[in-house]
Amino acid sequence: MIRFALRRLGLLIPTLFGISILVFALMHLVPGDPAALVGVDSDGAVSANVDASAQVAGFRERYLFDLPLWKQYLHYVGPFNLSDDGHPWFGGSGEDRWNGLLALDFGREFLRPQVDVGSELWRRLSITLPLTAMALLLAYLISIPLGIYSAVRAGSLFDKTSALVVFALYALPTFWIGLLLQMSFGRTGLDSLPTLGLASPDAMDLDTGARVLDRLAHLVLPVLTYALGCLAYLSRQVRSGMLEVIGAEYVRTARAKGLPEFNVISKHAFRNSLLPLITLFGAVLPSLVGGSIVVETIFDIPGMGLYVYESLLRREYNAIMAAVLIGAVMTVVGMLTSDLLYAWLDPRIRLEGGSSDA
Amino acid sequence: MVRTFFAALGLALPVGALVFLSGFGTTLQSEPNGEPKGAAATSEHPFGPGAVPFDDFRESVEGSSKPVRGGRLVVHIPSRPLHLNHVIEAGADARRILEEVHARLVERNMETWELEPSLAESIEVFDRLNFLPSKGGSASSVYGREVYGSHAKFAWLPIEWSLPDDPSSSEETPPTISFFNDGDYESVDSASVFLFRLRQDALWHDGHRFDAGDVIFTLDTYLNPAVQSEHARHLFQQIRSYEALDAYTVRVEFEQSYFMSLDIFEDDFAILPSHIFNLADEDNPHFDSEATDAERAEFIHSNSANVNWVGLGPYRVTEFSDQHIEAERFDNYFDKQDAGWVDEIRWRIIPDDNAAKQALLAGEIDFFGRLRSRELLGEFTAQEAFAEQFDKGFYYSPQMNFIAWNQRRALFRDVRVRQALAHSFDWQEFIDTIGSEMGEAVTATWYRFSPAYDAELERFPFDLDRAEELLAESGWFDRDGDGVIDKDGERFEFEYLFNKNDATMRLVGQKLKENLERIGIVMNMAERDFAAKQALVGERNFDAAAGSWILGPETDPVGLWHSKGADVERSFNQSGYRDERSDQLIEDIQGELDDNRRIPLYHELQARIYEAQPMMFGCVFPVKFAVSKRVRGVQRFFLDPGYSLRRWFILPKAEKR
Repeated sequence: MIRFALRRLGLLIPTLFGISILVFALMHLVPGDPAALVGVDSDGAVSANVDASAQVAGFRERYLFDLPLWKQYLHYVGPFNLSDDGHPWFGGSGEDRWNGLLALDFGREFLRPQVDVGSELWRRLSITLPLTAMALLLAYLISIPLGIYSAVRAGSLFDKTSALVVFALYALPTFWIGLLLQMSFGRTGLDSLPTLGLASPDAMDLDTGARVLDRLAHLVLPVLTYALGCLAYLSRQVRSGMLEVIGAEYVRTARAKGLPEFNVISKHAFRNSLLPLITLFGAVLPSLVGGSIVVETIFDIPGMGLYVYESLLRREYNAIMAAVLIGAVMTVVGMLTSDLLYAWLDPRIRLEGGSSDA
Repeated sequence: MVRTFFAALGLALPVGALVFLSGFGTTLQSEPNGEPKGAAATSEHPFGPGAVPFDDFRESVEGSSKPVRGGRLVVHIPSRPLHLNHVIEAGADARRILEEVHARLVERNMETWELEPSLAESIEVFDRLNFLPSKGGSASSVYGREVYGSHAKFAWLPIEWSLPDDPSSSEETPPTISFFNDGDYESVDSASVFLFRLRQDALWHDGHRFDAGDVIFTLDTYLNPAVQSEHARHLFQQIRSYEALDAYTVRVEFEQSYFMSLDIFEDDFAILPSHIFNLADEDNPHFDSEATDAERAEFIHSNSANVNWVGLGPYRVTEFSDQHIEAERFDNYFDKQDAGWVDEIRWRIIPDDNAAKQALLAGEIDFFGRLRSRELLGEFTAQEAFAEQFDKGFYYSPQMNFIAWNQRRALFRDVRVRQALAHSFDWQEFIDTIGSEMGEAVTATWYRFSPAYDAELERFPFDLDRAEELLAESGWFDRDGDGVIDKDGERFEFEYLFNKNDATMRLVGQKLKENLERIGIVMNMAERDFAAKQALVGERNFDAAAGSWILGPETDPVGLWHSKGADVERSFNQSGYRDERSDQLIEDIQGELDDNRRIPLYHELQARIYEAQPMMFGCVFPVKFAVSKRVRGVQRFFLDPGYSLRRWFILPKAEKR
C-alpha cells in the first residue's frame, strides 16, 4: 500500500508539469492583457487621458510577454530567471538568478505588484477552507441519514417527498437560494442573521467569545447556501448505493441471523454502500479549496473562488497558474485518498503492483 | 503676437492687481467652527460650474444644519481598489478614496471647477520669451510672471524680468515693462515655467514633514522607465526640467505652452512620501544610495505602503481589508477649515449590487451610488425600510458611452454609411425607456455640462428612411432580394463588440440590431469579457465596439481624435479618425491658454467630428444615489466623484454607529 501511494505521488510531478504547460498555453491564447485594465473603473469605463498604448507596451516588456511562449514558460517554471537581471545563460546580468516555480516562487500579481501570489493564495485558502469544510460536513451529515432512510423506506411517502424537496433545491440556482436566505434572515425579513462577510466590520473590538459567536453567525447563511446545493446529489448517491446492497444476500443473511435492524443497516448494508461516496471524495478535495464564486460573491466573502474569478478577468496569469496547480494537486491527492479508503473499506481490493486500481 | 501679449499684460496689470488685492469673492470659505464651505445658489447651468446648495435633493430636512464633529460615515464602493498608490495605478475607485486621504499641489474647486492652490501655497507662472541668437545678448530667454494667489484664480503681479537660471530671484524689483523690437525674439511660450511655493505646515500621516523632496521624488518616479506608470508618463514627459530651488520651492519648466499643464498636477499627480518610497532618501530605513532604477521601481511596486497608505489628506488610512477601507480624521491636516466633520470614514466594499442593497436596507451603509433609474423612481425606494432611513437623488459625472466604427475596415469608410448608422438609433427613446427619462444624448466626447460642449449642435434624428437613402447614395441596397443590402457582392454584415458586464451597451446593441434589420443590415452581437474586448479593440480587430469614457471637466482631445494616434495600436483613437482641420484645432486648443478663446475651438472641433461620425455618440446617465437621513452637508457636484465626504456631518441624535 505504501509503495502504491508513493508511486501515485511520484506520478504527481509529471502530471503537474503537463497541467502547467496546458494551462500556461491556454491562458496566453485568450486575448487580453492585464495592462488593459489600468485606468478602468468597476463598470469598464476607461479614463480618457490614460496612455494605453505605452501602458501595454511597458507591461509587456516588464513581464517578458513579448518573448516566445516557451521562453515565458521556462521563466515561469524557472529556476533560471530570464529577465534582464536574471541568469547570465539567458543574457541577464546575473544579479537575480533564481526564481520561478521550482524556486517555490509563485510570482507577484501584475496590477497589485505589492501582492505575493503565494501568500495571497494562502490567505484566501484560510477563508475558503473552513467555509467549504463546514458546508460539506453539513451536507454529508444531512444527506447520509436522508439517503439511508429513503432507501430503507423506498417508495414511501417520505422517500417521494424528500426526493421532491432535494431535487427542487438542486434545481434552484445557488445565487437565488442565497438571495432568498438573505432576504428571509436579513434586515428585510426576520432580521436574525448577518448577511454579508465573515465578520462584523467592528468584530475586532469584541471580546473573544463574542467574536467567535459573531463569526459563527456570519457563517450560517453561506454554509447553508453552499450545503443545500450539494444535498440532492449526495443523498441520491447514498440512496442508490444503499438500494443496491439492501437486497443483497448478506444483508438478508444478517437479518435472518436475527440482528437488530439498526445493526443490519449500519454495519452490513451501509459500509458496503459507501463505495460511491468514497469515489465522490476524490472530487470533494478540489472543491474544498476551490470555493464557490457564487456564494462568495453574494455573501461578500473574499475566498478562493472569487480570487480565481477576479484573476481570470484581470488576466493575472501568476495567480491563475498557482490556483490551477493547487487544484491539480488536491485532485490527485483526493483521488489517491479515495483509492486508499477503498482498500481500507473493502479488503477484496488490493492495491499492490497496480493491478487492481478499483 | 508678442506685442499683443505685452499690451494685454499692460492692461491687465492694474485691473489684475486690484482683483488680486481684493481677492475673488465668489468662493465662500468656512469660518472656524462655523458653517461649512459652499452655499445655496443657482448657476447658469444646473449641472455646470457654480455654487452648489446643501441637501437640496431631500424632500424635507429635519434637524439642525449646523455641522458637528463626530461619528462614522459608511460609504459603499463597488470594487476593491488594487491599492492606493495612484502613480502605478489609475483606477477610479482608488482615486475616490484618495480624495479624502491625500492632498495635491492644486485642487479643483468642485463648485467653480477652477484649480486652486492646495499643497502649493501659491503658484507662480512664468512666460518665456526666446531671443534669436543672431541679435546678441547673453540671455537666450527671459521670463515674465503671474501668480495664482490664494483663492484668486489668476492675478497679474508687477512684471519682472530676470535671467532664466533663476527666475525667482528678483522678488522686490520695482515694476517695469520692457518692450522689445520685432525680430529680437521668436516666440513667447506662455505658462511654460511654474514655481510651486509649498506649504511649510503640511505633515504626512506618520508625522514626517512634507517638502520639495517629495515632489521631486514623485516626478522622478513618474519618469523612471522601470516604474509601472506608463499610463501617465506621457503627461510628465512634456516637462523639460524640474528642480527644488529650496526645501519648499519647486520649479518646473515645460517644453512649451500647454493648456492643461497645471491640470496634470491635480488629478494625475499623486505625491509619494519620499521617506517611505525613495530608496535614495536617507530618511528611508531601507536607504540604498546605489540602487538602480529597476531596484527603486521594485521597491515602489512591492511596498506595503501601497495599501497602508501614508498621505497628506484630512483622513488617515487605518485599515485596508477585504471588506472595507477605514480612515480616521488626521488632526494635523494643514487646512483647518476643510478638515472634515466626521471622525471616521469607512469605504465599505461590496462588489455585488444586490448584496449592497441588502446592506443598505439593513442600515449598514450611509451612501450607495448605484441605484438604477427604475429603483430611484419605483418600488425599491418607496418601501418603508428605505424611505424611513434614506433620501435619494442624482448627479451627473463626466462619463459618456459610444460605439466606435472601425474606419480601417471598408464597411465604415464612407461617411454616409456612418451617418446612416447615426440615423438608426433613437437615443432619446432609449433614455426615456431604459433611463426613465434621466439622461442626455450627446454629440461630443467632452463633458456634456462643460463650457467646451456645444449643446446647440443638432443630433442626427432617428430616421430610418433617411438612413436608407444615405446607404443607397453610397451604393448599399438590396440587389439580390435576400433582405440584406449589398455592394460589390458583399453583404452589409458586421460584429458589435461589447463588454459582457456592460448591461447598458448590451441593451443598446439589442435595440440597434432590431433597427438595422429593418434597413437590411445584419449586426451580430459579440460579447467578450473586458480584457478580451480591449485587446481586440487595441489590435483594431473589430468592426464596431461599444465603450465608455471617463473624462475630466476638460479633457485634452488629442488622445481620442488626433490623427497621430490613428495608426498606433491601442491608442484611444479607436475608429482611426483623421482630419487635418481637426488636428489643427486640437493643436490650437492645446496651445490656447485663455479659457474663453478655447471654447469656439472646441465647438468647431465638435461639429467636425460629429459630422464625420467616427463613432455613434451615446449618452450620459446620471449617478443615482441613496444617502442616509442622519447624514447632512451633502452637496451634489457634477464632477467626479460627485460629492465631498469631508463636508458631510452626522446629526448627533441619530448617532448610533
